[in-house]
Amino acid sequence: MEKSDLRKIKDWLWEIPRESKPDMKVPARVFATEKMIEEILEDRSLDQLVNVAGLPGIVGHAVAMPDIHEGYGFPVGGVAAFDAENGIISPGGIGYDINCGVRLLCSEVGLPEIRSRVPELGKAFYQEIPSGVGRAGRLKLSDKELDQILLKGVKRMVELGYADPEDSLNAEESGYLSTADPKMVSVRAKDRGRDQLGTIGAGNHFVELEEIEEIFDKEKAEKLGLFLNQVVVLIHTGSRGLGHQVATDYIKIMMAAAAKYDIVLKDRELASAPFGSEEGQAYFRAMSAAANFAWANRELVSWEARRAWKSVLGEKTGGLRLVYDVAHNIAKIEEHLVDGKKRKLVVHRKGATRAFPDQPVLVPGSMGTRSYLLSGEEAAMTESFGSSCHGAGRRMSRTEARKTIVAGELRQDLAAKDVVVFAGSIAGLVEEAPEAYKDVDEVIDVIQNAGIASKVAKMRPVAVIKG
Amino acid sequence: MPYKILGHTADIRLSVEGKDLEEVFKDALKGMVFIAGPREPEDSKETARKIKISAGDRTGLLVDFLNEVLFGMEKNYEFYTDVDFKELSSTKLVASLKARPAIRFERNIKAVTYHEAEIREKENGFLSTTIVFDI
Repeated sequence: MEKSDLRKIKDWLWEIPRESKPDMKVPARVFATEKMIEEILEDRSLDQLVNVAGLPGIVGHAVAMPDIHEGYGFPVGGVAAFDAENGIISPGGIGYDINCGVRLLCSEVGLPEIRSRVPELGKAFYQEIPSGVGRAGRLKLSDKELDQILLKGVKRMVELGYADPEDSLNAEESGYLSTADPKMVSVRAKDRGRDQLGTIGAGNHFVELEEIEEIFDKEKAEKLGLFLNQVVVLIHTGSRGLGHQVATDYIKIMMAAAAKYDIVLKDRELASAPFGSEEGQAYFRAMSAAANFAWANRELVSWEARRAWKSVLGEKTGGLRLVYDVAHNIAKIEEHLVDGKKRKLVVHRKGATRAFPDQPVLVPGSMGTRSYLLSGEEAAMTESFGSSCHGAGRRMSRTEARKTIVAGELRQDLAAKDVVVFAGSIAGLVEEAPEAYKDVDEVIDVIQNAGIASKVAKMRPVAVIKG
Repeated sequence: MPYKILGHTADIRLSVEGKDLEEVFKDALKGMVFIAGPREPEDSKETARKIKISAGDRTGLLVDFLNEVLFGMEKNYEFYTDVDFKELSSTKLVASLKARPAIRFERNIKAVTYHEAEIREKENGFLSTTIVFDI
């Protein structure tokens, strides 16, 4: 892919026309500045986006967010909508970590009131919330118990007493998809996830204590119960081994299905089946179950965080209330206008967040940089199937990060920024260093300029917990 | 020829090669375990884990083999130092993995992907492929 293949529409929007590459069924659009486009062209993410634009039943545009980077099959930071009657569903368009997502909890206190307790709080979070690879959660679920979680997500956690009843009001889809069918989830997937509920895992997953550093929209912030200097908790994790195995199982099933339905695959990871087919429906129901597991997972992590918070600060400082929870790896059935007509679509978001008008959108940066709370805007519905970006987006490979970033210096840099870090793996910490990521402020500016979502608040990390 | 870890923006790309399928599979196993970075407890003992896998072609068999290894590492908290093949063809393998217990892993491999995977014969007759791991 060359820069000359792209046509600039606006300062923050580029298009790869349908006619420019063989097999494209719709144009591909990228939300990015010219500087970002040059960086994006360094990997194969736009070639992957073009491949997506050629899949059966795709409508409108294949969309890339400013945090796009190379994935496998589909790029990360992409949105693709397929007609529910004539289009496909593809596990690769959702990703292995089904319903990887972010949630924000807010406290009732400002940082100045508890500043001296931050290291103690960070340590308590690190001890109470299992992180890394090989640390199990507190629940060992039987098949029957696990099936209830796969069916009901957050709703089940409320029934079990691990969630505040109001939590389900403040999550995308109320924290569960009613299309889930635990019978569509393999024994192997259940075995991988059985002891992982309430764990964050490793890689780019984290729990962070943050301070609200700046408020851009006072009215919206107040409505969400947010104020300047407030201490908040940001949680980033997904469906753990259970979701990874569901994706693995169904990519294999879909490779056979693609041949059965004459779908030509440029990459095996684009494996797909018609949404209405037996295989397509089985995957959608299994994916919904894994998504429910992820919501329940973030709920149990929140329960552990709430417990740690109280164990350090007692009852006087109040608790942690869920502000919102969003998925950024998921497929949803939604209605959108396409060429002026309302159509039922299977919207695939892989590294992209739903951003319906007035909906809170959570965009974590990297540790040491800012995270944002945005509010979805009307233009998202016409420009990006109601979707926004999901993070800063990686720009440096893990191997390069290990070669160029020194762990000791990274810790010193973070300490100089008043960020305390608790991490199980030093190598893992280095791979997730701020230098490995794009500038989140630039990503957010593109989203705001495009009218997809507007800034509500900016947060800075004060304690980072990683696996 | 030992495996090579190559760059990938978000994940990890592994390049493996060997004079035959057995060498490719062994090399890929070693590369994958290196990427996972297991930490072994003191006084641990080696055990054997039997596996049997079928797939449509040799590339699919390799990806399925590595996914079997991943499942074993995550479910049983163990890692594998080598593999003895009782049978290995393009579509089927029967083997025994040499397993050792792990107390933790440096990296969380979410999945072994089919992205870029294709076992090809090189000019020198060796077989090679790339495997991308979702991290």
